[in-house]
Amino acid sequence: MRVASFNTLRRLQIPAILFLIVVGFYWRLVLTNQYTWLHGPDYANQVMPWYQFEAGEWHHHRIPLWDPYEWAGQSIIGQGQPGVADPLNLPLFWWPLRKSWLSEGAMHWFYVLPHWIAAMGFYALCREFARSKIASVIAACLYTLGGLGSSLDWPQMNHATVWGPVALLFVFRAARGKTPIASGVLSGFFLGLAWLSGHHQIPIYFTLTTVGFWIHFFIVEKDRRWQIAQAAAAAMIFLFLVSAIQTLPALEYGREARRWAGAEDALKWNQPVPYYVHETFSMSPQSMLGILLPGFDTSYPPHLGFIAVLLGLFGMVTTWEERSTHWFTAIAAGGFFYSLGANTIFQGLFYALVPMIEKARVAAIAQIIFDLGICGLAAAGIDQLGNIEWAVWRKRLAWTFGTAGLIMMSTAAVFTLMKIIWPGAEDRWMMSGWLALACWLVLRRNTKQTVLWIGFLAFTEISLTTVRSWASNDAKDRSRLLEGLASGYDIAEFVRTRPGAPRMSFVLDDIPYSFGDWWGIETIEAMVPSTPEELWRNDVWSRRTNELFGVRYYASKKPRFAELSKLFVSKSGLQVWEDPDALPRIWNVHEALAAKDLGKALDMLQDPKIDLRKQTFVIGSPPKLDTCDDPAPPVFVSRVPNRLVIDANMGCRGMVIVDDLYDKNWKATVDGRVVPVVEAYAIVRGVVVDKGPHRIELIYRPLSVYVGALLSLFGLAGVCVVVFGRVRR
Amino acid sequence: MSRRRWIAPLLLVVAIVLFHWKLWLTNQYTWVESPDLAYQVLPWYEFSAYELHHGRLPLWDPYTFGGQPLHAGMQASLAYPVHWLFLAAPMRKSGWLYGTALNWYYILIRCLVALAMYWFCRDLKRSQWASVLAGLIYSLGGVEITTDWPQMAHATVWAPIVFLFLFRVLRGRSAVRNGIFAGASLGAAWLCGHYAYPLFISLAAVGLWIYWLATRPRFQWADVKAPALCFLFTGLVGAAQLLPAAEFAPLARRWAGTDVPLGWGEKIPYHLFDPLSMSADGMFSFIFPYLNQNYAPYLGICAVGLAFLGAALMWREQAVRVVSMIGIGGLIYSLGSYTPIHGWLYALVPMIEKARAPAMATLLVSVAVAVLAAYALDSVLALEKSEWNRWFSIGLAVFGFGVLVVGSVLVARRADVMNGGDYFLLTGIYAAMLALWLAAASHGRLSRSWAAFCPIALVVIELTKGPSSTWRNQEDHSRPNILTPLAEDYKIAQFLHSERGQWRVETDVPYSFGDWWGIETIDGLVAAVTSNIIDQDFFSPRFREFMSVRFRVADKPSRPDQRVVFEGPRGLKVYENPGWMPRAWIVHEVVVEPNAKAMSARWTSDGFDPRRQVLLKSQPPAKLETCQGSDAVEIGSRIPDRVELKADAACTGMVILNDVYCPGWRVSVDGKSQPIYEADGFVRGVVVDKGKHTVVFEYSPWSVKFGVLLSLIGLAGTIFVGRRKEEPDGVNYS
Repeated sequence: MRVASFNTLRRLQIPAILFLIVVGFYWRLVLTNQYTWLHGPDYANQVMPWYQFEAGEWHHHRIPLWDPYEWAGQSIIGQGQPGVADPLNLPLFWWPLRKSWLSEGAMHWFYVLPHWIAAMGFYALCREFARSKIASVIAACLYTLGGLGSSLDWPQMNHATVWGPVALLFVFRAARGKTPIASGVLSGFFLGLAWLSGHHQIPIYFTLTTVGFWIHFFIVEKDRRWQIAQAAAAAMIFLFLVSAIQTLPALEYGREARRWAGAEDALKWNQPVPYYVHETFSMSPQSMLGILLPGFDTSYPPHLGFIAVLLGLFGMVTTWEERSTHWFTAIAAGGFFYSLGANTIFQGLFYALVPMIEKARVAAIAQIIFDLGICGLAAAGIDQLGNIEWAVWRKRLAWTFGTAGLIMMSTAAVFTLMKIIWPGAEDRWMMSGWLALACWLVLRRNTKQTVLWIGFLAFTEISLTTVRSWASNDAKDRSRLLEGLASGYDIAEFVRTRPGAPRMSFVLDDIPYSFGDWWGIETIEAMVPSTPEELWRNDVWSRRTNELFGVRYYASKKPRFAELSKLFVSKSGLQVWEDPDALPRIWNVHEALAAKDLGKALDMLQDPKIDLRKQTFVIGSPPKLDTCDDPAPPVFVSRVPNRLVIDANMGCRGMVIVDDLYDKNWKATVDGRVVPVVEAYAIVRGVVVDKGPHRIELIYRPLSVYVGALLSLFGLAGVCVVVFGRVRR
Repeated sequence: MSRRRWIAPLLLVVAIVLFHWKLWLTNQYTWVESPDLAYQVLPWYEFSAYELHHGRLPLWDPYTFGGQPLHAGMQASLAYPVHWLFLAAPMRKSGWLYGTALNWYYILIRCLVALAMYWFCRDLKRSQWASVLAGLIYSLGGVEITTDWPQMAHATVWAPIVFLFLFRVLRGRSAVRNGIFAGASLGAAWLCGHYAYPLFISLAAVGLWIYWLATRPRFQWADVKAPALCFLFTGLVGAAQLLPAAEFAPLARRWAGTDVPLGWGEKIPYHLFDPLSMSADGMFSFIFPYLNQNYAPYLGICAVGLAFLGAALMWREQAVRVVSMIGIGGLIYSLGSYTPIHGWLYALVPMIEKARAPAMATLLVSVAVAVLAAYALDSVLALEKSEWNRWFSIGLAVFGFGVLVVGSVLVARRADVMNGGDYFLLTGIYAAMLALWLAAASHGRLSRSWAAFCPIALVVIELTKGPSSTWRNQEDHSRPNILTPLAEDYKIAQFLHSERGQWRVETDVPYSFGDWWGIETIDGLVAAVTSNIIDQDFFSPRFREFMSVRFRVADKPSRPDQRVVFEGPRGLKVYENPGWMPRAWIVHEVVVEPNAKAMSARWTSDGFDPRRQVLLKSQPPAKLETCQGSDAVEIGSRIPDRVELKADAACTGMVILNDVYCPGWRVSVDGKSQPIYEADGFVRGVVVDKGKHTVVFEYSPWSVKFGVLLSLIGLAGTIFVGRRKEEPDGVNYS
């Protein structure tokens, strides 16, 4: 029993060490309350409101599938990026809320812990190739705490980086003949987890990498082609199964949505992202230099450090005879050239030849693949530092460090003296120079502590990235985004207390965040990467469209329409304006007109001759309605994001209009009887109801989510069978 | 084995095609990105293709400058067979060229360029890998891709082929046979339509022949036979283009950067060569992209580094030494006014001054770099032990590191070069990678295929930063679209086409409006124009009226009496002149003025009435009569190279057709050939007797016919020589 406990403790030794290192690396976030990683507009203004909404839903025991607070309502799981199905998000969503708000501390641990999991995955990858424990630990830390692994602060992207190394581990395991099919299944499983993270770019790059290796092994392993093919097929099947809960709804939503991708206009699904957008988001050559030195970056800080890269090159040279070195070199080279995007032909060919690749518009992010490769090589290099066979090369490495250190320091000194404008690196270049010199000193002797020292120096070098990256609570200019989120509370309170559940609109220049998600108020504006085509094909900025959606209040510095009247001035100086002609959120009509086609319907919506309060129109033949007066207007009995309950008392057959965005996955029942949901005004929901009192229920039931969930569960069960089967054997 | 021979060239073609993915795998790009290409060359192609698809040879272009010879102007490439493929490609039903055809035409040229270099290297016994590398360098880099005018690019195909045969001669193979092949290839280069590259290749060929003669063990006059035959075949094969050009050039004036267009006998002033020479700092543009250098010869550090390595490792080979000399010669020439060499040639060698851009001579550097890189790769693949490998890998690494340091300074200073110094860094990285490859490959740490593949991949990746990287994305409307005017003026063209009558248009638009829309204009974007029309009082209302200029397409009127009759979508307007003469009429009075200048002056004088009188250099044999009756001339059918008139003369008179006179036009009256006159010094006239006549003007220049005949003879001669068995190799000088 004691022996078992001891073994268990020994097994926990490495995770515990990695945990301590990761926590130590992120001490600013989790050991003080002075910093926050939520300093970027995307995190603070877009991601935080999503998470706030999702956490709120989970705490009310509802799965967040439909978000009514942005753009008159749209699928939140379909958008992908909110990460509804990401298992790494669930602890955050389930974590106790503080007065119904996510706590900053929870957000910080939520940021740190995936790095720890990623480190363990990378450690396992290194150990797979018989790297020493210490080399594996150092390489794992370099992967997750350096390069893009550290600087990709969007959780939906960062979470995908966690699973890539493990997915590759099982590809390599299958290639080496170790339970190929089971390895294929597990590779697909982990890749599927990456797809669950919600953002498509990094999963696409990891999938490309693994597919590339499957093809390579299929070609090279001539005697085991069938086995490799089976393993690859298993991987792809389980990738599909496990990720289905996210990918199927995303696919359904994506085909019906428009996406802002940097082109002049929002793009439809079948419109490829123009290549000039990819050119913009390619890794610039100066960012390339930023792999080695902190401060050289244009968009995504790629700093992995001089030490890590030179160790990687040293590993490549000294272990070139090993197959794994070839693999890691190929990964590093592929990732590097792909991330250069339009600067080389490589990514362009993928863009043009491989379907869907064009959706991943930021080639620079493929640097994560380079990081993976170079860190894998660095692990090999660290192990070879003590190898007497390579003493000459170790000396060369030492001298390279020394020379590089001197050049870096002298250049930095000259720059400082000449007062050359520096791209954000300040004195960190000088520090890199010192560290390189320290490496030279350490490598001059071959002692048992050499590796530890090198690991420490590499760790110190990658930590230079974080020196200037996070916002201190004391630095007002850098944490103003979070403060901005708090500043709209009086507007939210004001609107929330108005009768009739009115919808609100605002100007993104004045309120730059997703106000609706953050405060739980339905809006027709939000900071999102995409919106449904149904909404976007209309003139969403016209007053009439806004009136149809029941937008009664506008928060902005200036009135959007001349007819608005000023109602309230918030402490932040923003004003709330009222549109007295806004339609209610729910009403009955007794006349339905026919619109010949979509173009006609769009014209009819803006046609002042059509009284939106009394008349509706649908594309095609309209339902037959009777004309009369109703005894009472319809009322909401209950109203939660995925479900609306309405009581309507009709004077004769009519249509109850709910001015939320139409989506085919909304189903309706009238007195328990299933009825179709009509796309009234070619944009909102309508239900035809006969004379008399009725209870109408509208429920969001996306088939893609249910089928996806079923497939994912099926995949998970399959993985369990494989894993437990292996354990039993 | 024979099948395997085709794999490498096939892969080369695939690589070139894939490299140009932007053109054929998306619909977002076009290579027609410069004003010359879009506004001058494209309208020529549009006109040529249209004519060819209607079964006519586009020898005469009636749409610019009152009608000008198109083929004789050279640059429309009408004598070049590869260009015919493009012109024969299917057109839209509306009569327009397909963008796809244009893009594939560009790719085809690049493939041919690569294959020519591949063939040259294979002939030098280079391996397939090395030859592929050379093909890629030559096709994707250098000045030959910066100057992507097809008429120039075509000629670059022939440079390696000419050298291939000349190097065979140097290696001791049959001098006559290979000299003829080299000459025929050079003639083919002259067919391409631009003279600059063929001129440089010819100069290099002359140099190689001199070298060959000088290195003969003993000079004999019989040895001169081979170079003489070489240049004879150049003349023969190139005659289909050279003869019409030679006929046209003395009659034309050319815009060459001077204030006024130059005549044939006028030398281009030497100061104009300065800006078009390779500058001393511009030489860095061999390895750095986007330096501000005219005709940038960007080849990349990988290609240039390999070339230096090849020269160092294989200097013992005669081919390496000779090709290095060709490269050095090209480099020195390209420096233009920076060295006296170019000046001497300018001053002493006739016709050299016509090639006004010495920087384009870096074509020869590209040839040398490609070949030397192939030698370097073969040497490394053969694992030949040499200290050079070590020194080059160290040197490249140091260079790369130095470039990174300098690049970081540029980045830090936000320098106004190469995207703020950004692209400078790329060169440093590629140098370091090449150093790494060289260190690994020369020590046998890479398998042969990887050792060969890596530099090829590096070269291709580095050359991605060539001109194709600056092509504008058609969906990016933040950058101006050079093609916009070509598309947006269609409503104006529609309006003009709807107006009845025979008249001309003057334009103030940046492109050849006439060729593009098929409307006769009095101007256009051309490189040269016959002096008879341009020497007149070209912009005077009197001249415009005489040339039937009815409309003006421009933003502003050129005269106060013009009125707006139509406005196009981009604000361009159509103005109508108050008066214009018909296209043809009859005069009955001859004024003789033998001197051209005096004739021009007289034509503008008030005492001369061009409606009634005609100026001729001499009195026609048939004397014109004056009578009271009225004359009538109607234009019957009219296609570019044939105009039929129905004339009714009251008495003997001269029918004047106000299309530009040019040798090659013939005329018949009622089916009987008659002498054609250069009426008023620039238009066509023919004497007709009293009564009704059918007058037919036809363009049928002897220079074209005779030139084609000579070309066919040259081609037949080359084939004849080719079919004969080559004699065994002679002394191998290497």
